[in-house]
Amino acid sequence: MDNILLQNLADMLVDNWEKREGDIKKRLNSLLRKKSNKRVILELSKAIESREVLDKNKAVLVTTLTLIRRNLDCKKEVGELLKKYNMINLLYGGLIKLLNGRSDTFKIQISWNHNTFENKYEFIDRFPVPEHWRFIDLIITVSILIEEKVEKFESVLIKDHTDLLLLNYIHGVENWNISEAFINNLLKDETNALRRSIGFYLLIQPIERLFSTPLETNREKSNFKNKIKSFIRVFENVPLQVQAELLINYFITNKRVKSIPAFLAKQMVKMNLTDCLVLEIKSNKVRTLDDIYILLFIIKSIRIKSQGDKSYKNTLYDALLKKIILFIEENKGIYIWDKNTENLFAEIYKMFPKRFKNRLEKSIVKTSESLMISRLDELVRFNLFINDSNRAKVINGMANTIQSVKSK
Amino acid sequence: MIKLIINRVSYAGEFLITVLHRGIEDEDCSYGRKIIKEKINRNNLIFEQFIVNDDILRDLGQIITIEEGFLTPKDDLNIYSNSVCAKITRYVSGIKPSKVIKTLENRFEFRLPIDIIIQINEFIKKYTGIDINKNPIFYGDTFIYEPIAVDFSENDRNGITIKNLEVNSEVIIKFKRNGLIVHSCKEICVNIAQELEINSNVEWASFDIEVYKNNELLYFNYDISYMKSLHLSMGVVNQPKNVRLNHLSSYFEIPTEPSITESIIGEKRDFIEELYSKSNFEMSRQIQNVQEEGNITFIKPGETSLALKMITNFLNNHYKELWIYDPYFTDKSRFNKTLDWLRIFIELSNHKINIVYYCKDEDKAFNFNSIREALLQDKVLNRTLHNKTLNWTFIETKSPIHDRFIFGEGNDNQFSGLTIGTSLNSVDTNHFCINYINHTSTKSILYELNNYLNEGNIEGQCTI
Repeated sequence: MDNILLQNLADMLVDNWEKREGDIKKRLNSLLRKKSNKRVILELSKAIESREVLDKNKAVLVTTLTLIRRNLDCKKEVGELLKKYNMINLLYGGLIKLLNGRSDTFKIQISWNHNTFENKYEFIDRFPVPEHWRFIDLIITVSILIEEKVEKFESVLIKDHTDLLLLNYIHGVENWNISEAFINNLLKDETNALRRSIGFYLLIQPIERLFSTPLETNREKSNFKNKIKSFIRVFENVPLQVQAELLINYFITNKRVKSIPAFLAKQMVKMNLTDCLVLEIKSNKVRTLDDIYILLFIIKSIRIKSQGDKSYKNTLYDALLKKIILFIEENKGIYIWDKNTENLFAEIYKMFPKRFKNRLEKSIVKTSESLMISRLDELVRFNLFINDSNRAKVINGMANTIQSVKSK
Repeated sequence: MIKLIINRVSYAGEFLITVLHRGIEDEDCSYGRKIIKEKINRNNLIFEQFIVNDDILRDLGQIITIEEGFLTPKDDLNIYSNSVCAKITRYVSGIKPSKVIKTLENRFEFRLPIDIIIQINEFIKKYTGIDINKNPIFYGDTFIYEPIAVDFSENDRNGITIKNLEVNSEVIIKFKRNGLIVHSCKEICVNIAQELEINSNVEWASFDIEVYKNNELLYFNYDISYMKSLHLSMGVVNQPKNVRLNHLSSYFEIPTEPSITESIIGEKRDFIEELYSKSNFEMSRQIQNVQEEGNITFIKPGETSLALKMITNFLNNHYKELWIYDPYFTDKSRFNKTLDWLRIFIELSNHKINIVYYCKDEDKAFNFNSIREALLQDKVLNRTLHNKTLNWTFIETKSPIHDRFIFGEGNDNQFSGLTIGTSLNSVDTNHFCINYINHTSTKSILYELNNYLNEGNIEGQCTI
């Protein structure tokens, strides 16, 4: 076990992350001269004691990664060996070095595509455990820390600036009792929206798991209530604009589920959240009629118990109405008109209070008159004619739906 | 009183173009007023559409002449789509919109910068259909258009069926294939609501159709064809090959060859016919390739007079300013030839000449301090410099610009240029190419080079 061997192993591992080599296991094994895990770690320990290796943290990490990459099932054995030779802290040190991204040759490089997702919660929901098999050796290695030192494990996840470990660990890990401090750390991250949504995911997961189970005993019911209480306690500690962001993210990602958790819906219909919610509604997260429907449904359904000015609901209705008018007038959001769209639009129309209904109708009439669908447009402005003919189908569908709702 | 639909564009309160449509009727559309606005250069560009009476033609202002005629669907001036013919009347205006066009004694010119004009023209094309880029003289004119459509389509008896013709209409069809007219036929529509069928007994690929009513041309279109088959060729490209580099860049991607599949939708072409057609094309292309003139001229030693001729012909155009980029212009070992060039420059009617050069070693080339003295050594130049002031600037750069360029800006702000593969003082001793550069390229290259100079890359300069 010497520096040259360690460097070769490190290069091989990093190359494998960049471009998968089919025979990586064989090659690692031959570099290790087919020695057993026990022997390798023993030799490593001796090399560290005799100060032969330059960087003990990196050495332990590289060795662990190699052993695990060579045999993905030997984590338990390797973990125990590291504990026996007091190398867990060194493993931690090596991971920090790898993940802080400062080395040119020894780091992980990932380009995520979540930049195209404004709704980070949707990204997490749609792509669980991304790049899992590419970095499986690293992911298993990090999990060794869970049994030994949970705080160090959580610290590694936070220090990983690529968020790879976070994204891979949030979907269920054995033996990890997630600390509240960890979740708060994620929720309060000011620059990384992905981490905020990850924090929310971890916060809501334990409760979501209980949705599908029937609560029969009193103990089960009070357990559920306590979980909700502690959720609310953590959640309300978070800045208002983050609250708005996370709630909108959640509801839009889950817009097609059959039922909405009432406690969460109540969190959204709070007066102090109104301005932040309006900003979220204006953003590109709200892109289709489905999105508008779910938000409108929640705002309409939740009754306000507290006294005071109830007109803030109107501010939210106004924001949602403006979004639909944007869809209509700028040809966004609604591109085909079929039975589903018709039903959805009818429900949305019914939910709006009267004066909002009038504004919606006015916008439809105004846009309808501006469409270029006459014979002259067909002859002289054919491109515009084709575009507007398609829009006309949608707009006429909307107008007819409103008529039929009114006549009932 | 006939009703017309007006489409009009105005800019900064002046009418740019007016198009009136006659004979268009809609069941569901009443053509209520439509207005579309756009802001360009702080002024409003407005398109309007509404219904007018034909008495609007009485207040058109000063009209030079009226042109009237018939347009086929393929004519440039026909703004209608859908294979419709048009009757057109053009009222040529004597007064041009002054915010856009300058009216001078012997010509018209643009008052606005060209890129603004192009934006305005795009707007006009988008909403009125008229392409003013091709005919800027149309500014200020009024047009009346009337569409004429004839309902015809391919039938399954190898011919064409025409519907809804008026009584006593005549139809002439010429069926064509491979550049020959293979069948022609003239028929008269006798009964009302008769469907006229004209079929060919021979195979055809396209046809021309003319329809006359009361001996007057009603409709005319030519080279009409219907798609019989589609030949799709698709390629799937694999990941490119990566070449790891040391200096130029970190990686270089070489695209790999695509694997191609072909499929044919519809009728398959006759094998012999396709073979003949393909070979014909390939063989004629070989001949064309040889005969083609390029815009690169290759000069060998001994062809100096050709090189001189090309370069001086270029320099003889009326440029108000010239730029010459030649790093070894002031080389002492060939300075006699440089002096020759400078003698030629004196004779040119140019106003300003900029010469951009490089001096690596003061022993081997003149720098901006010593160049004036060097020029005065020549008798001809000496005499000239005592009689008149030229407007020459010698600009020395801190590092050499390799390629040799000559750029000229004309009095009409049009640019053109040459690239020469060798220095001006070695045109008699080298193998090199001379290449012409067009307006847009010259303008952008000159812009980049001048920016480079202005960013502090000038060692010094001297004006003579």
